[in-house]
Amino acid sequence: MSKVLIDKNDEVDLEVTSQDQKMINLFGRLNNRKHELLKMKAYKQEALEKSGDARDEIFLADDDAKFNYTMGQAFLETDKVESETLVERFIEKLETEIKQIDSEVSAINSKHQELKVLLYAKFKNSINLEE
Amino acid sequence: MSEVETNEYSVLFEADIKPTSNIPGVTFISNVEEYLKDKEIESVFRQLQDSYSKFKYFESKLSNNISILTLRSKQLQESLDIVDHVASKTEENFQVQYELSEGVYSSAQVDHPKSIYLWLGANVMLEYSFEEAKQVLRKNKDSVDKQLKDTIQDLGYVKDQITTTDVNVSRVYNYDVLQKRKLKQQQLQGQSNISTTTTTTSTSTPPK
Repeated sequence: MSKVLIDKNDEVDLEVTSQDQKMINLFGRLNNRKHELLKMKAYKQEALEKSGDARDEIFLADDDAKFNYTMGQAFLETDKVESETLVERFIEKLETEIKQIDSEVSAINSKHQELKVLLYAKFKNSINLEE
Repeated sequence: MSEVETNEYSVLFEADIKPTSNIPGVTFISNVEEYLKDKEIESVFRQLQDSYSKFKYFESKLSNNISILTLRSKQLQESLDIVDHVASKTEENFQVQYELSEGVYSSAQVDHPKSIYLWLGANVMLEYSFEEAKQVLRKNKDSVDKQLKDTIQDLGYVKDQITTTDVNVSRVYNYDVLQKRKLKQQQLQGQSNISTTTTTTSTSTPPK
């Protein structure tokens, strides 16, 4: 959360314009989103790890083994090849989603950098723009 | 930003976010001195505090809606996936374990599926061809996603109002502190002026 806090020794009477306010708002808003994304990423990475383990297990199983693959609220009985395809597809999906999260986070980071330059230049120590 | 795929959240990158529904906004105080003129500082703080809690309430309501809509969208996607899966098996038999009741499963044999049933709510279930079922689900998902997008935009707007209120509070507070300090300094100066005058007068008229 970004806040404008004027230090006790900082007697400079800075004028906050509505343009500045908009930048501060944008910064705070993107900061929230970033934290959401990072949480989501951790969650997906865990799922990815588990799916990787599942893939290994399927690989090691007998060729005629049957699996129960969860889809929605049901379990589908699948053979080895089909389970492999389904797990692979799920892993791919997770990987793309993680990549999307990463690119959104880096977009936020560069926007943050841009805003920090502008806002720190004006408000110096009077503003705190850290996480 | 160009490399980022647009999603429901892209709106958060906009410099100035607008609400999709009727949510009141806070006014940015452009000049604190002007704003505080003819106003009681206590009532200004109270007013800011009121609007702060009002937006906090909006915020929690909208966050909650977002969780619900995100979940619903995910469930609809799962339904779409499963319809797709069954549709790819029209020439086969397959086994499925389905939930009879909470935590209770039973086995079913699906033999050359030709159609699928959708629960429409209000105790109605309807048989659909795979294509139609997907259309219905897709339509529902689109409408949920649209609502989700709007809610995200509204939440972004509400968050901005909270930040603006935060900044307003700090600025009014800082202004108040500075004013009080100035007043104190003036008083101190005033006192020392008086004391100097008294001393000078006393020295100028030394007792005989």
